[in-house]
Formats: sequence, C-alpha cells, structure tokens
Amino acid sequence: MKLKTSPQFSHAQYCKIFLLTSLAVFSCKAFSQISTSENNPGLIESLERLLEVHRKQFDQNKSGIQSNLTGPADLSSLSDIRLDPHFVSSLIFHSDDKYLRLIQTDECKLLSVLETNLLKTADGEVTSVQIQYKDKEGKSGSASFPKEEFFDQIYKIKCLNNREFNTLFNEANFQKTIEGIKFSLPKSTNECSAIHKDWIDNSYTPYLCKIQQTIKKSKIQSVVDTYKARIPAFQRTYLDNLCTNLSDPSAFCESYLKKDVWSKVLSGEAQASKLLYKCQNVLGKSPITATELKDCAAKFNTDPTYCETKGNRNFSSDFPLINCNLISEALNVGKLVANYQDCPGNVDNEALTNIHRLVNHFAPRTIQTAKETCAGEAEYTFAKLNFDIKHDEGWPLKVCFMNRVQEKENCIPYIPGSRENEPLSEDQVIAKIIYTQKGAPAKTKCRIVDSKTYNPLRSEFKFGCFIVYSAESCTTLSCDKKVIWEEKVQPDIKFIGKPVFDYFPTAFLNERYSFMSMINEVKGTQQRTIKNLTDMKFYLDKIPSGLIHGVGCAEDLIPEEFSRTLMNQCRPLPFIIDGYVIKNNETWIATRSAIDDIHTPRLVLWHNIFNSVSAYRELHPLNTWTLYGIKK
Amino acid sequence: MELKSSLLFILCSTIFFPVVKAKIVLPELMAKQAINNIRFLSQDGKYTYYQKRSGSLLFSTNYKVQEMLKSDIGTEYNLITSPAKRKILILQNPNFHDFYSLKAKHNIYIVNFGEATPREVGYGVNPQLLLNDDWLSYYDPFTKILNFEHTTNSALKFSIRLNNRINPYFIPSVLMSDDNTVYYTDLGENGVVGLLEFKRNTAKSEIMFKAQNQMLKAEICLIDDQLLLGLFGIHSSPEGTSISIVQLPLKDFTKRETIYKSDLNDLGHIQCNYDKKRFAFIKNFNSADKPAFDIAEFDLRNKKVTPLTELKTVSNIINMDGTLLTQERGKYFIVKGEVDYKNIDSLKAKSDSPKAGKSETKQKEESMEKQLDNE
Repeated sequence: MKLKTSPQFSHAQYCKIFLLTSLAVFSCKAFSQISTSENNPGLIESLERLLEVHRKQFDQNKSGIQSNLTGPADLSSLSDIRLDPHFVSSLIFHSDDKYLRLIQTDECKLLSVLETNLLKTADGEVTSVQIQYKDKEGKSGSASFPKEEFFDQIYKIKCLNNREFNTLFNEANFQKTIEGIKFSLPKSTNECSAIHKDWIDNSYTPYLCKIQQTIKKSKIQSVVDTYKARIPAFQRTYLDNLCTNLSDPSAFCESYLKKDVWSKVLSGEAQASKLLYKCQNVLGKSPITATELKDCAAKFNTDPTYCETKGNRNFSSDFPLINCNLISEALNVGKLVANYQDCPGNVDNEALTNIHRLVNHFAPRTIQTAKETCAGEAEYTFAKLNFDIKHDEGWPLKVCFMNRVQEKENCIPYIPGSRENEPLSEDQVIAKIIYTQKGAPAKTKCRIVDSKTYNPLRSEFKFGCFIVYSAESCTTLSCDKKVIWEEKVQPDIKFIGKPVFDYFPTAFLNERYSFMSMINEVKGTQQRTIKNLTDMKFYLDKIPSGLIHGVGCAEDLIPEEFSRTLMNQCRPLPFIIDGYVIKNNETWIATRSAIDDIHTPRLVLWHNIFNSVSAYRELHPLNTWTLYGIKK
Repeated sequence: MELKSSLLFILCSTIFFPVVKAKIVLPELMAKQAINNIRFLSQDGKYTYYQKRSGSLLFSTNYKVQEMLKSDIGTEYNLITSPAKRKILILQNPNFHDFYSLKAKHNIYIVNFGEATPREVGYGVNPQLLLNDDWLSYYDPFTKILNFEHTTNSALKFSIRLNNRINPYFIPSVLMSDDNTVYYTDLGENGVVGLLEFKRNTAKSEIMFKAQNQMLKAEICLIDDQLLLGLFGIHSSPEGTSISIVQLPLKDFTKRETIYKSDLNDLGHIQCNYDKKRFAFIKNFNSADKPAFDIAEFDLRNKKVTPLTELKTVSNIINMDGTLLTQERGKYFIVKGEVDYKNIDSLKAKSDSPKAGKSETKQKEESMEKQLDNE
C-alpha cells in the first residue's frame, strides 16, 4: 500500500542502499527487481526505519565532530583525507538519485557534484563537509570544514582540474564554455545510449547541471535571466533533458529519437512557436506551463485527429484544419519564423496576411497575440511598409469626421488597433478627433472593446471614449464600428477605406509600390523567380532563411475546397512555401495559403502549385510568373 | 531465323493487342479569340463572350461586337450559365489583381442568353442560375445570407440565413427542385457539413442529412429529376467517398441509394448538367499517398465508372454549354464534346455571305422570340 502511494520510493532508494553499503554484493539492478514487487511492504518499512536510524547517527556524529575543537585547521597538514562515512551515507540517502549516478566511479566527480550543490544531506543543502583523516603522525580523527573552505583546500591537494572547471563555468566564462561544447543529437538508440554515457563520464556535467538547476529553481530572477539570455534555447532544453534524466538513458533518448515536431519542440530541436500557439489555443489559456506543453505534445501524438478541429480557437482561419501528423511533417521541414498567432479569417485582403507573415519572418517584431488585435497587426505591418517608403497614400484606411471649424468632412489615416508608440493607431487618432472636435480633455484615451464587452450600465463604460466593434464578425470591409464618447454615439465619425494594392506589379508604372518592391526596399530582401520543382528544392535547401512566396488560383492550389466551374475562373490566393517532404517518391510541399492558420501548414503536391500559378499567369496583366524565392 | 522472329512478333502482337488500352489524348481548346479573354462560348459557336484587359466585357455574334459592361482596368468577369440557356449571370470584380479576397463581394448582373444588355441584380459571391433559369441565387459571406431572386420578376425575393460561424471561406452548394423547395449545404456549430431543405411557403429549413464528422465536404446537384449527394473526405482523412441519389420530390432522404463508394478521397467537383444519365467527377485513380486525379464519368444506367482523362493531376471540370473542359498548366483541354471552336469560327467566317448572314439573323430572332415567350 505504501509502495503505491510513494512510487518514487523504489528503484532510486534501493540504488542508494547499494551505494551506501558499497560492500554489499547486490547489484542495483537486482534490488530494483525486488523493488518492483508490490508484495514486500516489510522491506519499505525497514527502509523507513533505516532512515530514522541514519538520521540519529548523522546528527550524533555531526554534533560529535563539531564539538571537537581540537581538529585541524589546514587540510595540507593531513596525510589521509576521506569524507566521513556518516556524511557520505547521508548524501546518498538524501540526494536525488540522478546525481548519484555521476559520482559512482570518480572521486573528483563526487567532489564537483558536492561543490555544485547537487547533493543534499539530512540537513538539506550542504554547508559544511565532514571528513575523517589521519595526521602525519598516523593519528585518526574527524573534522568538519565549512564548504567553501574545504574545497579551497582540497583542490590544492587533489582533483586540481576541478578548480579550472569552476573557472570555466563562472559568470564570465560560462557562455563561451557552453558554446564550445558539442550537444550531440542521436539518430539511433545505440548512439543515444553512448551519448548518454559520455555525458555521465563528462567532468563538465555537474557544472552544466548546476546551471540547469539554477535556471529551474533559483529565486534570483536576474541570474535566471542572464542564463536564459546567454544560453540558446536548444542547449537549455538539452541540458534540462540531460540533467533530469541522468539516471535514465531511455527517458533521455526518448525525445531525441521521436521524429514528430511536437517532441522536437520539447527537446529544443524545433522552435517553441511550432507547438506553443497551437497548445494555447487548444487549452484556451495563455501563458501555459511546461507540463501543459508536454500534455499537448502527448495529445497531438496519440490522437492525430485532434488537430483537425482544434488549434485555431478565437483566431479565424480555414476550417477544418489538418491532421496533427501531417502538420508535424510540414512543420518539421518548415522554417517560417512565426512567433505570433494571426487570424486570416478576419483580414479581408488575403495578401495582407501573406505580407504580415513574410515581413515578420525577415524582420520579426513583437506582435501581440490576441483575438482583438490579430487583424490589426497584419494591417499594421503593411501600413508600416508604406509609411517607411514615404508612400502614405498607399495606406487607404481613414477615419472621417465633420470638422466643425472648416465645416466640412475631413479624413485622416489610421491603423487598426491600439499601440502606445504609434500616433496613427486607431485609439490615438480617435482620441485626437474627440479632443479637437468634441471638446474632450487633451489626455483623453479611447478604449477598443467588442460589443459584447461594452455595457453602458457598468460604471467603467459610463465616462470616456470607446470604439465599439461587432463581436460577431469584424473584418476590414465589414465591421459595425461605433465611436462612443460620454455614452453618446458619434455618428459623424466613420471608418472608410479598402486596402487595395499590387502584391506583384501589374503595371510598370506603379512597380515601386507593389509589395514585392516595397519589402526589398524596406527590409533589404532579394527575390528571384522559381520556375520548376528542382529550382524550388535547390532554393529551400541552399538558402537557410529563404522562403518561396507566390500567388495562384485557389481552385488549383486547394482543389478539395475550391472548384473551378467556369471558363477562366480564378480566385487568386497568396501562399508561402517553407519546406518540402519526400514520401513514396512524391514531393509534398509545406505550404501556408493566406487563408490557413499560420501554425497549420498543409502538404501540397508540386502540380497544384504549378497549375495554380500557371492559371493566374494567364490572367495577369503582365503575364507574370508569380512564384518567387525570397531571402535576406 | 529472321522469319521465325517476325512470326513470333506478329503472334505476340495479335495476342497482346486487345489488352493494350489507347491513351486518352485531349485536344487543346483553340479559338480565334485569345483563350484567356474568353468567358463563354456557346456550343453552336454563335455567341462568344469575352473580356478585355481595359475592363470591358464584350459580346460577339456573327462578327458583330458589342460592349456589355465597362469598368476599371484589370476588371475580371465570370459568366454563369445553365442548360436552360435562357439567362447568363455575370460576376464583375474590378479589384481582381489588387484585392485578393475569397470573401469579397462583387457586382452581379443578369443578361438574356445571346444578348448584350445586362442589368444589375445583386452584390455577393457564387451566383447561380436555378430552376430552368427562373431563379438566381448569390451568397453574402459577411452576413451569411443566401439571397434568391426571380430572374424575370425581381419583386420575388427571399433569403436564407446560414448557420456557419466556423469557416469564413465556406460557400454553400445550392439548388432548387421546384418553386417552393431549395436544397443547400451549411456547416453546423462544430463545422460538420449538412444538407438542408428550405420550403418557401413555411420559410423554414429542415436538416435532411448531417455528415459524420468535419472531414467531409458535401456537393449536391440535380440529375434526371433526382437529387445527387456526394460526400468527399478531405485533408487526407480516411473518410473516402460516397455518392448517393434520391428521387424528387423528396419523401424520405434516408432511403437514398448509394451508387458509388470509394475508400479513397476523390476530389469531387460533380458536374451533372451535361447529360441526363451521366455525371462527371474527379476521382483518385491511384492511392492516398500517391494520388492520381482524373475525370471519371458515372453512368446511372449501368453504374459504370469510365475515365475521361489520364492526366493524373486534374483539379477542375468546367461545363461550358454542354462541353466538358479542364484547365491544366494554364491551358484548356476538351474532355467531352466534339466542338472545335476554332473551326466553328472559321466556318462562320466562310459562311459570312449575305445569305448565310440572313439565316443567322433569322435564327437569332427566332431564339429571341422564343425567349420572350418564355418570359
């Protein structure tokens, strides 16, 4: 019964007995076999009694040693120095089993593990070290040294390298040291076991695990932040996996030998965003814990159909989505940087979604992920491109109002959403109009709320300025939006405009203001046409951050959803390609159409891409082949 | 020795010849007009509707050209017809190249078949001619309203509000079996597709059928007074394909007959309106991992499926006035139909004598009179 309620009190504890009674003949494995039997409660009880006995002995021994005031002050005067057996047994009883694996063969490793605070005694963290010694005259005795003093002296006598290791991992050097360490990724079980063994034997491991423990448990946030900032995510996740599974090679290997992207995110091999946003949407909460992320990965692996209907909650996009396994295959090879969640369903011009994704791949900015702001973020990305090349007229969204002084309607540009440092953001533009035209105080702020949240009966909505939009469906073209100032709707304030622009140039005259030219000018990208599958593979393989983007007819790109029933019918749909997979000698291309959820790429065959671009080319005014590789 | 080899070759040829299937070679659609400008060609070659990049839609008959509509440069037009050949719907998109939107609504016009004077009827997407062109429908993806209007009496109107809230890009399939009955598809709260029957006299919709899960799409069409329902698995799901048929007027939808089943997800795109006993659809002829999509024809009489193409990459079937076409790599191919539009144009050119011209005019006049009678 006790075994059931304390499942951890099994293998690890028996291993400790092995270490404790190193004279014992039993192997750890043999004990673990006994431990797995649930019919042995007597043994557990005896272990508990053993712990009690040990605690008494440890306390008596410690107070005995500490009361001895005649002990040596300097270790160099001693001839034989050993850790006190009661102290060692306490370390073994109270330390985490995984760290004990590091000390089984090597005395110096024992010292480094002890020094790095990975081991514990009955008192908890080690603050003093108890030793047994013989002096130069052959007399035996026991003594207790403060930890720092002990290590300062012992490293002058033995394990001289440990002092250097300490230097390598101090605050000034740890980053360089870690950069020089090879964090090998296994491809097979045997290779993985060998890598795990190498880590166990590696003298750096205790120091690396000390860093991992600090990141995980330290209450000094500045130290944690320093480590997080200077150690790349992959190495941090690798260390976490290693140090958590020092005593369990199979658990260490599990995440590296799995091929799915979800496990790769957990092991740090893939960008966290590939799982994070999908998991947040599935759970309906943000932020999420590491455990919840693991749960999501497990769910996506065990129930692949789960992703077909879940994963884009609150962020409108094409529906249904794709099977988790297929998403995983596409994400595994994909390289689009997507540290945000967008909502194509709320953006009327699909080109804006593609532009948002491309610009933020080559020049990522911090993007708010919220259902209220996701459409505005895409519009903001495009607006900034226009403003950056001084092409203000390229941004069409305007707020119109009756100017009481001029007695005529004025229209000024705005960018949807709320941004503190952006004077053109919707809330600030409206606040300015309310101030200049309606007599509101100069510091008036306008709050953007949906119609479900806005309730004039509640005190928070009694006073001030509110921009209330339809909670049901609000897109650029179709949004029932009202400006309310002091509970009164301002009917003269209207939102107008339609983001009309060329994605690829449609005439030589306006070429500079097509998106293709603007991104090259503002973000320094370079582009070239992609004519065939070989060229596409070459581009994706050879240019690490390179993507392919294009415009094709939806009827050919996604024929299972859109059908062409009329002559020269085409619904142009922008898309991004960021990788490819070869399955059964067939090349499947990881594609995000501009209506797809950003974290749900689909696998498309080359003929679909080719036919969609070919069909659009037939209708294009310049007969342009609208498939381009883009790189920075 | 040589003689022996020759005999062996002849023998083998004789044995194997019947087994070797002829490869289906599709003739490319050729016409005097640039193919990418053409929006509709009547099967008899009389009428050509085409557009110019300047933004005009033009109507050409008997070498007379009339401008039907004019808009901004780059405006795209699509023409929707039906086997009744009484009306044509025109979808006008002035922002085709500078506002990519699957949801954006466009101007919809109607014109009598073979005529050039359109009138505006609505603003939406996916316009359809229904019930022998007596009715038209179009959809508003923002309000989720399916609008219906009588084609000759615009005072006769009604609408159906769809339930779909989950897929912003969903466009319903719609058909009318009589003046009172509409069949249409919609998505439930959870995104599962369903078939509904709407009765104008009660203004109520009733669910006829609900798919098992979200990974199925539904297509409907009318063939030989029967309602055809195709269910096609999507996104590599294991749903497969099933096509069933039920007699109209509908009494019990559960008693529909399944006439075709496949473990593979066919593309669908069912085309019913080119033959009374046959329909065409895009079938996967290979496997889920290595799909080969081609147009197949299903014969209702013997339930036999016959491939019409061997391209392996077909993604569309277009029924242009009874001729089946497909677009591949930007070119159009004639899948079924003997029409060679280039020759028709040539023949017309040859017969453009005063005598022949008179005959053409007479035919047109007769056709107009007939249409007016129908009105």
